[in-house]
This record gives sequence, C-alpha cells and structure tokens, in this order.
Amino acid sequence: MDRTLFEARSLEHIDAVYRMAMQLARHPDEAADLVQETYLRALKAADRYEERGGGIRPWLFKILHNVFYTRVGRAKREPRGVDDLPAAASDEPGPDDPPPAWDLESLAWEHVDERLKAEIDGLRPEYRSVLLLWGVEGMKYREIAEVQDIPIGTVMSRLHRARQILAKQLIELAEEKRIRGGCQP
Amino acid sequence: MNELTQIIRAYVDGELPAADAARLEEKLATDADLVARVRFEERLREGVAEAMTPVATPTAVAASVRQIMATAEPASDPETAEAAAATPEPETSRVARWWAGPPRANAFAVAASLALVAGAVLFGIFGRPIDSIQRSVGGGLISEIAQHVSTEHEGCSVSADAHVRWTTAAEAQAELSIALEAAVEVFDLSDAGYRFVGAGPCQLPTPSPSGHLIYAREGPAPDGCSTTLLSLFLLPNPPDLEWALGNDPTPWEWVVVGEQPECRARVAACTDGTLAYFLVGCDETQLPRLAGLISTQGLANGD
Repeated sequence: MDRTLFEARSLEHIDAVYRMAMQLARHPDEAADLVQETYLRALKAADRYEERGGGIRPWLFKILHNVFYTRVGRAKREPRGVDDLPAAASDEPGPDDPPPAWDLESLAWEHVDERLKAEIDGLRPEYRSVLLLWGVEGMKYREIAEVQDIPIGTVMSRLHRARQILAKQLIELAEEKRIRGGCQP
Repeated sequence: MNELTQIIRAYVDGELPAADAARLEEKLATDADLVARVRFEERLREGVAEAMTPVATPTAVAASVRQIMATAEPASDPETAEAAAATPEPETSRVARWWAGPPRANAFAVAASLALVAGAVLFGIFGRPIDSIQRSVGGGLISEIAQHVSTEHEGCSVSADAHVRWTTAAEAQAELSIALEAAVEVFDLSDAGYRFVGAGPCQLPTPSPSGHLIYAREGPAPDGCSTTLLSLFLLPNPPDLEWALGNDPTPWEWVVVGEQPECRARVAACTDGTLAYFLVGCDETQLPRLAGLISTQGLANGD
C-alpha cells in the first residue's frame, strides 16, 4: 500500500487505538506510549501490510495488543510497587438467569452507564478489551479472536463472564430502585 | 451457561446461524418475556458502548503520532516488518516454553497431521495406542492433584449421579469450555468399550476451576476392579505443575503420576499445553488404549 494512503488510513483509527490503549493500560501516559509504539511498528510493517476484509483497524489492534502484552510480560519479571498491580478481577460468574432485570422499566437507566463504567473499570484488561472490541468496535467473535490471538471459545467465555458481571450490576440497580421506591410514601 | 441466555446473546451479537435466528424470531412474535430478555441484552450492549466510548485522543498524542508517521522510515528488512504484528514474545514460564517456536496452531496442525497419518497407516482408525504409559510418579502439585482425582474418582464410583451435572456431550463441552476458558472436548472412547456417562465441575487443589468427564465400561468391571467407571479430569494447566517428564513435556504424552494399589487404579496425566488431563481408572489392559484414543482425538481437534 502506498505510504501516504497507509498513513491516512491508519490515522483514521487513532481514536479507536487510543481508546483500546486506555482500556489496557489505564493510564494516559502509558496509553500514549502504547499508541506511539503501535503506529511506529505499523509503519515499519507498512510495506508488507495486506488489505483484508476487516481493513487496517483490526491489524492495528493486534499490534497494540502485542505491544501491551509483551510489556506486561516484561513487567512481570521486574519488581513493582503495590500501586502498579492490575485491578482485581471480579470474575465471579453472576447468576445465569437474573429474572427481575428483564423488566427494563424497573431500571433507572440514567444511572446505568455510570454503574456499568465503574464495573467495567474493575474488570481485568483482557475482559475490558474483549468488551471494547465487541461493544464499541462491533467486531465479531472471530475477529476478536484474531486480534487477541486467542481461541474463539475464550472470546465467548470472556464475553459471557463480563456480561454476567454487568447484568448482575443492573439487577442490583433495579433492586435498589425497587427498595427506594418501596420506602417512598 | 444457560442455553437460552447463550442463544439470546448470540442473536443480539448477530452470531446465531440464520435458521436458529429465524426460529427465535418466530418465538419473539408471541413471547413477551423473550422480547424483554432480548431487549435487555441489546440495552446492555448499548450501555457497554456508551460507557466505554467517550475517550478522545489527546491532541498531543495525535500530534506525536503524526510526527512519527511523517518522519520514521519503514523497515527495510522483511523480518522487522513481519515482527510488527507477530505474536508477542512468550513469557519465560514453563508453559510458554512448550510452545515457543512455531505458532501453536501450526504446531498442532503438523502434529495432528503426522499423528493421523501414522495412526491411519500403523494402527487403523482406532486411535494411537500407546504401548505403555511412561511410569514416573511425580512430586509436588502433580502428586497432590493425583491424590485428589483418585479420591474424586472413588466418590464417582460410589455415586456417579451425584457427580454428574451435564449428561449430554454437547452440554458438557459447552459448560466446561466456559468454566475452564478453553475448548473442552468430550472424547469418544467407544472404540475401547467405554461410553460417556456425564460430566460435572470438581474441586482440585488449584486456583482455577476444574471439571471431569465420567465414562462407564460396557459390560462387567475388569478383573480386580470394583467399578466400571473411568474418570477424566480437566483443568487449566497450572504453570507450576512439576511434570514428571521434566520441564518440557511433549503434548499429549501420558505419564503415570499416581497409583492406588488397593483398587488397582492408576492416574495418568498429560497436557495439550492449555489444559492438563488426569485419567483415572483401573482397567490396566485398556488404560494405554484409552489414553491413546484421547491423544489422537485431541491432536485431531487441535488442527
């Protein structure tokens, strides 16, 4: 691909790449660093990049993941402070069938995004990145598996667990609303 | 995972096969509860998108990337270029080192092809029989797991029903794949005279969840055995597992890691790199054959 075209196409996705970098790194400086290294690596590989069905974006995500997880692997071998530890995973599976929350009317939707955001923030990076690729980037399971270099079954199970955790939050939110509603005169 | 939840989520994600989607849509026309569940999952997905989207690239970052793109030179050597999107360098754990070198899928493809060709030529279609499972009882965690699986197997032998949660192979595969975060296969051991009875979760002394598949021998228990049952335990391969064969075991190569002389049961173990398998049974004559069947199917499925 022509270099000018490559630059233009790859830079179109800088917001998506930065968004993913933030989900992985959780720190603006580190995210910025990841984005820069991702684009540098992409540029170095530009001559050999082959246009496929999904365009350049999944390829950039794949490079970003590789950069991030290579760094994580390196960091694991270095001593680090407590503050550097990744967020604890709340990966206890939620209930499979949370019946009350199917009633959308019972939810205070104005608080849902806030609640979901807080819960997503508490997930491990691998869960957050699957959620992002699925929910924001609209990727198929197969595409996510390719980007993350993991089996499609792992994509499905991570998505399932993450959704269970988030659904549980919605149920609790609905329950809180019901309790508050019950106390009102 | 609840099957209906799984179907609804696949539908919302656009991943449900067309015929199944059409059937679901037929039901949606008449089932208000189902409609509510679909709407809930749709709204959850929208909520995730809304909660995760509002992150804008800082101007300084965008500017620095543009600068990089404008000034940096593309790699001139192909190796550097290829490395950009290559799989990250594996960590220096034992598990990672098993798969260092060719990508896992390729390694499996080659191994599976070789195994299948060898199996077809030498042993027919009945799996790769192994003359003997290497005897080398390990220490540490592997022995601890071996003891636990022996106990669990004994429990199953007394009351298999209490240990079975999923009775069909499809259900067991789906549930265990989710629980173990890996593709779980219910192996077909009918060629060795064993039928699948069911599967369930179990508790082994590892932090990860584990499960077991239970098989029953057709006909009477083998001589000297008190049970016709055979158990295959699966767990995500613990990185600190001290494999008796050393730090670099060959995938799908079985080794005896525990014995129960009182009931003549033996525990054989192997790994495919992702999962560790512990096979417990007292059918001495058939155990190598059973292990061979599992290895052959495991290699073929890894292709």
